[in-house]
Amino acid sequence: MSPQLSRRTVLSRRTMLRGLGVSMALPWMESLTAAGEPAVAGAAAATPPVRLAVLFAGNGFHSKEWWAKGSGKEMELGKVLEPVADFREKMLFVKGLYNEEARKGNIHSSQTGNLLSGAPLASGGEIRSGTSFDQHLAQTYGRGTKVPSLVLGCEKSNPSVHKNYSMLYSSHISWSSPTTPTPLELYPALAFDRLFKDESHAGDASVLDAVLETADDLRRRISRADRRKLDEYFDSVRDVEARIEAAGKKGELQGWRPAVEKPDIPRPADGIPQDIAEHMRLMCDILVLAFQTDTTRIVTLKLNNDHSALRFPNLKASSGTGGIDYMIHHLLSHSDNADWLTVNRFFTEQLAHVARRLDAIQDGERTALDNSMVLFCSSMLTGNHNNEQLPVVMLGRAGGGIETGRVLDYSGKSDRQMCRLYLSLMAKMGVREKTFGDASAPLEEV
Amino acid sequence: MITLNLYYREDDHLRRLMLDDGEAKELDRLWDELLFIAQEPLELEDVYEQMLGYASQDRPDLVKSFTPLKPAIVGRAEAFRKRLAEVEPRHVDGVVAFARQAFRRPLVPEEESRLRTLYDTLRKKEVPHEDAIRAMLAHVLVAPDFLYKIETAGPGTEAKPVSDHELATRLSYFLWSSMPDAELLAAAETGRLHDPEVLKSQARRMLAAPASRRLAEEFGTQWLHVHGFSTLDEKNAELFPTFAGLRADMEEETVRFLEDFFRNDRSILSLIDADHTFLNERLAKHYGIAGVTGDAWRRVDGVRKHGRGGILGLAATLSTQAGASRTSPILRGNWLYETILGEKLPKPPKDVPQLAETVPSGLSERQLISMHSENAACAKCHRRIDPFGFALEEFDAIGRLRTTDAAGKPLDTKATLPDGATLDGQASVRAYLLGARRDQFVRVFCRKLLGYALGRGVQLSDQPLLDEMAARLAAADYRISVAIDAILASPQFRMIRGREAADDAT
Repeated sequence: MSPQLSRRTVLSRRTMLRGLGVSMALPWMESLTAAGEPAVAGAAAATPPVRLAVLFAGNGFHSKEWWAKGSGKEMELGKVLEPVADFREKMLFVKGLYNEEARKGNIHSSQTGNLLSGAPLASGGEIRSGTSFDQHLAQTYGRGTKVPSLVLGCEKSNPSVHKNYSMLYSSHISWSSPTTPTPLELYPALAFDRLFKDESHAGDASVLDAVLETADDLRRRISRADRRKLDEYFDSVRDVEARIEAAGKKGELQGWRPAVEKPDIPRPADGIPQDIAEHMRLMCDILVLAFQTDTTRIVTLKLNNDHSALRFPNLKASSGTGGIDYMIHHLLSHSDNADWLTVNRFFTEQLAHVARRLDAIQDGERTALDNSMVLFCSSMLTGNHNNEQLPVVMLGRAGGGIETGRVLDYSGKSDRQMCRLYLSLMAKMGVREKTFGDASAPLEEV
Repeated sequence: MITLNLYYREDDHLRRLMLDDGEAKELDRLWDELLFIAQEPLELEDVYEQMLGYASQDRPDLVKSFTPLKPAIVGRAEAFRKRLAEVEPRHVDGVVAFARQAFRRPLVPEEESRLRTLYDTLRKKEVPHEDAIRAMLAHVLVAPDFLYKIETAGPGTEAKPVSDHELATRLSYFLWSSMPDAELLAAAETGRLHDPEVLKSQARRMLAAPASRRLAEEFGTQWLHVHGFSTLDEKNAELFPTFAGLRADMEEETVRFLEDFFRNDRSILSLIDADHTFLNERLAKHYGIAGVTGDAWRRVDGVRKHGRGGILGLAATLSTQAGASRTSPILRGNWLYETILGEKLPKPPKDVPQLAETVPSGLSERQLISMHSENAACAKCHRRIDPFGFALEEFDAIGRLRTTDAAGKPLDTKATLPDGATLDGQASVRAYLLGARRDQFVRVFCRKLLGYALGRGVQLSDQPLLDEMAARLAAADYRISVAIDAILASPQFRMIRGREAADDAT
């Protein structure tokens, strides 16, 4: 039986199941055998990959309602985390981690741009942070998939300056290099295209070749300071070139075949959805789809900016009249009132949505959630800029690599750097670094 | 009914009744140009072939009437194809000319041949003409020469004058935040732009042109920290329901005030003590100034008595340096002290408790601030900044004059600075800035303008130039053109350091 034919058989079977109203993704094992592929060398090679999703919410959480205690089924959760209560056995609640460099500027922008890197931030007109751990993974582990990583956002980047720090720091947690915030995709349709559209124009490669031809000549003519800037530019051109070359290739390394090969949701409409709930939901669905199709294994979703200006007409205000749109997210965070709690829960509902969907995907012997690490975090514990410790919740077991249903408490301990967590998470994906940011050892407990 | 005509041209009456010969000719030319977009002769040929094919199956009668049309349709398509082929090289030339504009200078021979080779290579790979042209355009638009202001440095560490084209770019991005126009490029082309008089007269022309508004939009709003003010979303909409609808007007006032300052060569001191501003009805109402009706913007004089005129009376600056629900004498004071006077304060100590967003009952706003500032560790700095903020307490959090504070308590706008000067209200701040602090204010303004013009941080080596600017301004009524001329004449603006000079700019 030719592979093409058998693949068609699989598809028609899936189609048939749909036709019967059964919404069921084919387990990967089944699709693998049915496709008649040659046996994969070694069982380990067919293990589903570990994926990382980072969900960021700006401005912290309600001061009284972010907590967890107990373990396993008996774990109790604060009101902010109630929406993810169903997943408490797959949860790791980490308390007491902090980011030393983020404590230096004492304001939103200076607390966020280095959340995922632990790097010092430059103030004044300069933009300098550090490569974030998700992008470090994208540049290593991420090379194995068609798209190294997907960086999504639901609030546009803010280019102004606040208290002598660029607000770009409040808008970007992913950094491809110390001076390059990773471009954010705000448009659901374009994020979708980034995953599934392979179109490149006939002349694209030649256009870039012609640009790169000028590099040597140009470098000779200009000053040292300009050379540095120009090198960054040429690096980005080479990056695009590599992307064009990779277009059309599939992430089928390790002999693993994703359960779903084609998007099973339609391409979202162009433009940014006016309704924030719809915007977040679409981005969450795209995140799930990216994992499900194995187009990328690393997704960072910034639900809003730190110092966010989002409003929530979709949520009911506690006053009983109207939505929570009388104040922007940032101002609300300082009020710490009932509406702030409602907004917090709206954010954790997004996390719950991602978890629920991933957990419904059979992925080898486990669910896709079991094979993933979904990190939910903010750059401060409460709206009052308090980042003495950071709020951290993880869902998923990294393919069995993480023991969940636990609360880890590092408060009061030395060496409680957030970057130690990143060392641990990177190791789960096989990227073992000796140091990262201000940390030189992973968290043993994770 | 089926028709073969794809497009109709129906302008007989217009031609006959309205247009003179020249206009009629232009109309013909435009129709002809449209052919290149519509590709109508080719489309028509295609449609004709399809109709003929259809007719030949079961309508011999139609074939009969269609056949005689063939030579005309095919001939016209052939002729158009020939024209298309003929204009191809002109499109290529067009992109080369565009590259010259985009790079803001003539192309060197290799650049031109690289661009032409790109086209030829693609055509050899059977890429259609239009796609190859698109690729050329894409190349120009992603080229570093378009994206960056690239300047050729000389060998070694020695500084040398920049080329005339580079000088044109520096000037244009300083005054217009955009590329040089044809006239400036022409001046560079003749090689005379580096002549101080030519440079100066170009600058005059450019300041008078509408594009100099961008100097106000970019430099002006960045200097005052109100860049992007119209998107400021940081006010409590329950307390200040009118604010969102006024933001764009507040920003526009700021830009118009500064635009007028640059274009009409006003005194730098007028930035503080002007008696005029620019208003429309909405903003005038906000300020409580009568007699301004309609959406149109106009200059309004005699506004000092309403607390307007100058940067201390702009709703944009007063609102930016305030909280969401109440004013913040600390923010306003700090803005004056650091941004306008260029002083430096140490960072606030760690773990200072946040001030309440709304004033607790029983306290006036000022009492709330004072409680916070009296802490010994904090007082050192606060006594230098708070007095300015207290004096400006006569404006609420969105810049309206008021007589009681947000807690309903009477205002207290009296304060004493560490140098003994006493302040009371905005007028006293104006007088203080233009009296004891005049030189400092002017110098800080010049420093910011110089940094903006050079696109780099101002360094110790720039101090002699700042001294010179200060001296010349004092002798010339502080007119802004004097400061701009001094910058344009400076080696900083006209020279570039050698390639091997150290790259740290600070």
